[in-house]
Amino acid sequence: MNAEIGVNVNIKYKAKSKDLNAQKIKQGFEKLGYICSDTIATTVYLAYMLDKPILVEGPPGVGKTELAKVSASFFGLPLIRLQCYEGLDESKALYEWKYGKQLLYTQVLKETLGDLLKGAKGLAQSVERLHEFGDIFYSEEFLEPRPLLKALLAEKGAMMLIDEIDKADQEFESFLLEMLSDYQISIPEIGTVKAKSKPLVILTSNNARELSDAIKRRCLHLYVPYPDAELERKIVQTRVPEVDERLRVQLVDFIQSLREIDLKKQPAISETIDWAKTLVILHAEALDEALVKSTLNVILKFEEDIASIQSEIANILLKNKPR
Amino acid sequence: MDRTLTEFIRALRGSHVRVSTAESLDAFHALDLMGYQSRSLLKDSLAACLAKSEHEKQYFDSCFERFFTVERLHHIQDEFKHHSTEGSREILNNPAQQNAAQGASENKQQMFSEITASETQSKLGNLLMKGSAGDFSLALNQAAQSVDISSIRSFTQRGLYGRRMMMQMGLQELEEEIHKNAASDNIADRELARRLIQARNILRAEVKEFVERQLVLFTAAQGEQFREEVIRNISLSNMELRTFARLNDVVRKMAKRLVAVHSRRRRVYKRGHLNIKKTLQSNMAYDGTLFDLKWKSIKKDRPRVMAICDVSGSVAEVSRFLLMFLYSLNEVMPNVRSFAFSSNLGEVTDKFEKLQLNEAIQEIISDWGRGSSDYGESWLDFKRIAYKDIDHRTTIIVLGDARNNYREHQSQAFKQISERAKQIIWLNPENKNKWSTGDSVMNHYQPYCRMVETCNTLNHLEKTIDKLLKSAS
Repeated sequence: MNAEIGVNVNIKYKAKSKDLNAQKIKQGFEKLGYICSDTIATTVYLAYMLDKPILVEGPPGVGKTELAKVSASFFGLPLIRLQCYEGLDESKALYEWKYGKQLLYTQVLKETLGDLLKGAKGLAQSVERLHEFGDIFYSEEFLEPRPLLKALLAEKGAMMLIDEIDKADQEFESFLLEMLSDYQISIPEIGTVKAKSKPLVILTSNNARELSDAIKRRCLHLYVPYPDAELERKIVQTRVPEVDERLRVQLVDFIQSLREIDLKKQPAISETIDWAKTLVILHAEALDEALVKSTLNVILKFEEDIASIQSEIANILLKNKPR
Repeated sequence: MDRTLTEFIRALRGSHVRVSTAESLDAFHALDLMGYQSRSLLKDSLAACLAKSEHEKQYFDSCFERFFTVERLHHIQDEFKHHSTEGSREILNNPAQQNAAQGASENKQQMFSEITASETQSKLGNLLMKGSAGDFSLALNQAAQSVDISSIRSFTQRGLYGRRMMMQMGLQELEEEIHKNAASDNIADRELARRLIQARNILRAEVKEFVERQLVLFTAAQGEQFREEVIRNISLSNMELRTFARLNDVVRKMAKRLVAVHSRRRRVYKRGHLNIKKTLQSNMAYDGTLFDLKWKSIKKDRPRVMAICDVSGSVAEVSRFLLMFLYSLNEVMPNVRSFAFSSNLGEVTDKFEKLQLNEAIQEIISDWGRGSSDYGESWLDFKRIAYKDIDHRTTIIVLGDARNNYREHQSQAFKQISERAKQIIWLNPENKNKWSTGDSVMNHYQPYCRMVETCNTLNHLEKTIDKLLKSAS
């Protein structure tokens, strides 16, 4: 039934990237210190090839923002970041008029008005002359580009990171739609600005609220969960190479067991890395109860979590003991 | 074109994953890029294009596993390979037959290698004996398409569809060949018949499994939709306890739809931004000197709702849903104040702040629902508590059957409330022809209400609240 659709499937692949594939992205990321799963690499590859934005969801601290940063350096694109918050509107995200200069311009205009209209006969002629006089009040000279517009105007493309889109208001989402599907934005006074080179867009969300279907439809969706033990060990190895093998296994196992316990905030990858760094500074060689107890505040960020885990430490350590 | 993907998308839609046309196009593009070579790559890329939330990812996973079953491609093929090369293993899926076969396997091994069967003549026979797994899978799928398997509705139809598919694949011809050969004097012919029977049994098992898989894929959605339809239309007071869990989902879904429809209209901000266009325009009269500054500000308009719910025995269940609905609409109606009454009335807004929705409602009903309804007393209570907070933007929703147990109706107090508020909407769970009969005093209150509606299904509730939100903007 969809035979016709097939005709358009032969989209123009980017010539430069013929030999790119998901595996290469994974390896490239790895060289840049970002260990990722196949799913992540595949999605980034698809996004790059199909010119689609990626919506990244997942618990905080699993490297959603990091993904954008590493993609930027992998593809050699400048990273433009837009942090979303409640009340963010187009004048902060897209463009703003340089009011001050515009006002000055009107004053200057008034002074030159006399010269301009010298010798004009009658009102009709004056108005005509005014029309002939180029109007630059609403023109690019007075336009102050904000992150989104900057990303579109970038000559060689850019990596646009729209961070924590769920924190922005709902209408900001709708306002992004044009940008995400057609890579263009309309400025009423000037017209439509089309991307010079399509930027790679990554949106991140912590699921503070459900995003609209319209936005989801336009994006590839990537859910980044907490990594499994093997992947996490690899991440620690890359990020904190000073930690020796035994301790690495131990600390990752400990964190993994913590995630199975019902906590207010579960330790994320960033916490694992921080903990590993802490242990290196303390010259620890293996985890023991006292050590964990004294460094627990690195991985758990709520007093009640710490209190509830205190008594469990010995059990967890015992359980994870290599047989 | 890639029919497999199209069908997969249909199956996805059947299992709680909402896939739009645009998304399926994306999936086609992704597939074009990735191909079918690697299963995990295929899964990852389709998941990225089609499943757009953590929830949907889970449904996607199970649907993908079920749809792209690997055995489907290799099963028969492998079995036949074994069969023809070594004859080492009997191959039927059916365990009983397998056992029987094991006993005789030694003998058979020899037989297989010694007796050469005659060539099969029928199309299906050829396919089963010599065709590759790909051929078989293709034939299976073609047969499925020609009998329109996707319209299968119930598990009682399994046999029917299976039979039809096999007929489509040429079962008749095969049966005839088996008959003919079994009756033959030639040992090679009889051997052929024996093998064909075996092949037919495998085919039957294979088709049965295939049909069952399709049944699961294509009927999940209808069942779900049907159940939801029923829940929306069933009378709220007859709702059974076990449907409650599902009901929460339905209410939330309905509420979400209303939020989506109405939030766009509602949200406008008061911004501290200079509206340069307006400023210039309005200062033209002052020779272009800008002293009358205009700001970008638009007033927001949200309905202010007070809900008054009768929670006495007769109406409690319906009240539960009204409250559930109102509080699910938090995003478009942030400041709902709620009051509950039976013999007297009190404010219960703070319960919703402290407790989970369901717990709060439960507690309210048990706290306030003990007495028998006294509407008159409750209006007086309401006036005392909230009269000063009512203004011309306040909408009051009353939910009750107006069965006053022959007490004083105090319609004067009700009138005063109505005069001060923007509007009163009365939702009555009883049918219109029962109003004002017996101890119902609906006729005393009706004149002061902007809207009186029968409300005893979720669909009624949705309609009413939709109206309310429309009138607010």
